[in-house]
Amino acid sequence: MNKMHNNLFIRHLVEMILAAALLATPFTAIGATRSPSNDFVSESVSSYPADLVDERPSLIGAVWNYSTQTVGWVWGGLRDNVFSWITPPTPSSLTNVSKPDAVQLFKLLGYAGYKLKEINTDVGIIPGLSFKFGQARELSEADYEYLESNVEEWELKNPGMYASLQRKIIKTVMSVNLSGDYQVSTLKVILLPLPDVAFTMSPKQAFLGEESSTLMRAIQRVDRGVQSLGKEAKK
Amino acid sequence: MQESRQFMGIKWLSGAILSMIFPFLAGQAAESQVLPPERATGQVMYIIGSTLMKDYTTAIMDRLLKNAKLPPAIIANRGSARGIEAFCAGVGLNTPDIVATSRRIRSTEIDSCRAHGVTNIVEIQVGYEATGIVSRRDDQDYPLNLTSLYRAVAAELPRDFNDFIPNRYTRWSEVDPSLPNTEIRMIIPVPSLGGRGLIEDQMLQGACRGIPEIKTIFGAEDRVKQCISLRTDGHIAELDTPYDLNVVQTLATSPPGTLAVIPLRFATEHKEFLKVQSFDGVVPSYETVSNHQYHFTRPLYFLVKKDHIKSYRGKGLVSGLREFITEITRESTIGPSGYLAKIGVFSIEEERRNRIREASLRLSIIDR
Repeated sequence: MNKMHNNLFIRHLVEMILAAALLATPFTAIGATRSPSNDFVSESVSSYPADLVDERPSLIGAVWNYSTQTVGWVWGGLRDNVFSWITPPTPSSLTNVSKPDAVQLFKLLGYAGYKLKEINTDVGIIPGLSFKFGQARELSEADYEYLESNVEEWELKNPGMYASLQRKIIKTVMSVNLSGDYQVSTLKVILLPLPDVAFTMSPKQAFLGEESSTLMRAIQRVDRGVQSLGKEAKK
Repeated sequence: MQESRQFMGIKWLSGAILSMIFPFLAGQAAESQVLPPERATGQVMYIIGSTLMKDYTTAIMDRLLKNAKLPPAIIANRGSARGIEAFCAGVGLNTPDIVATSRRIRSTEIDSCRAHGVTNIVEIQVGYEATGIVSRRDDQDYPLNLTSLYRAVAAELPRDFNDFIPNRYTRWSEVDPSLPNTEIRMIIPVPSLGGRGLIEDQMLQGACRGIPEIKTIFGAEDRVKQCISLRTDGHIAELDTPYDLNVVQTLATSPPGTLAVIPLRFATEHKEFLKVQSFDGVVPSYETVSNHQYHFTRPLYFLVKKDHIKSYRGKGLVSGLREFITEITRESTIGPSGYLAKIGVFSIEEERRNRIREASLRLSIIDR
């Protein structure tokens, strides 16, 4: 009976070691790939100080080490990610966006006649981050062709889903502005808490409000006055 | 057997008669939009489109006449926009099967096509047409870029924000100190020629995208008007057809420093006399055009109506469209040593060419 218990214990121990080794392999592999020195310097085992000083670790010790390293790695990753999730980037970091996809989206929205007007960030458990673009100019036919060729070139270089979604935004703006009597006046790209895009459309030939109309008439009167003064000066 | 031979003989004879009278019929159709009766049987292809594509379409049809024994097609040169409009008018033998364009079909045009029932369009790019700046062969180098070109030819230049003054530059070195100290003289096509569009759209409007005073004008009409207005004080000469010959003659009698904007195929034809200048540090060549380093290019497309294609089982409207697609995707047609390259088409990079060939032969339709 005792012998049977011993056999079972040895069997469990071997299984645990094997399981630990299997579990630890990917992490040690990750560690190895993460260390930049591995790419450039090769050291012989005997010259490594730990081999010369430390005792050879026991099997249980090895299992313990692997387990604590694994828990540490998982917790470290979680902690870093959670903090980065709840703290959105600062406005200053966003204006210097370095991700090629985001830069490309901003660039193409610029070609489409839109300029970044606002960046809104909310810090908290449920963070918020959004970009608001406003129409800065109407596009000419040549501008549309230039934009389309740029979108096409980007499509060839970046066929991924993220880039494809961004292209969809540009194409929607283009198709709204090109067809019908409406245009996209503002565009809000919401990244957090849930990705969303809001298009504000307004008629291309909008009627002016009472205040704007009065202002416009005043400008026209001043303009006529300036023109008649100019004609008199020429005489 | 005897009967079959007789039938074949009659078929060949009618084919030969058709090929003799068709150039005349084609011309008539192009002018009046009245299609010859042979079109009603679906034996003859109807191709409409850009004037620029005329030589290329003719070269392709010549091959098809010779190799696939197809009857001559009805070819009408109406320009890309009008060609696409006619192509998108609907499905049926009274509408074109193919449109040849010197630009990509726009999303709005695709929508218009769909609204008229033209839902299945096969889009095939065959290459690029490039335009360059040339001088006389014995002239100095003029390393221009968009800014220096715009400063040399624009009617007005921005001084302060929203203030424009007439262009007073008279010498290239005033525009950019790295350019030779010679008088500014520029030869461009008259507004009615296709090449003028490329100058206005790509060179002038391309330059204006980098000028804040022009870029910030909200209205497209006002902005384009400001941007493409050229000086009229004698520094620019506008020439009409035959443009290439007129350019060569004018350059021969002009002082040094005279530059001309011409399609590069003309520059190649007159290479013993003309020198192609670099632009933005890039010399136009087959390599720089194919890898998009050189920007003054126009893509050349054929759009084919899939619903018109007659299948091998005889289902469909028009014969010869499959042969046409096969011909325009052959390496011997659109490759760097193909016959289109010999008459001025810059080929697409190999990987993309292969993808276009594969998609076209599968008759993949536009998905935009």
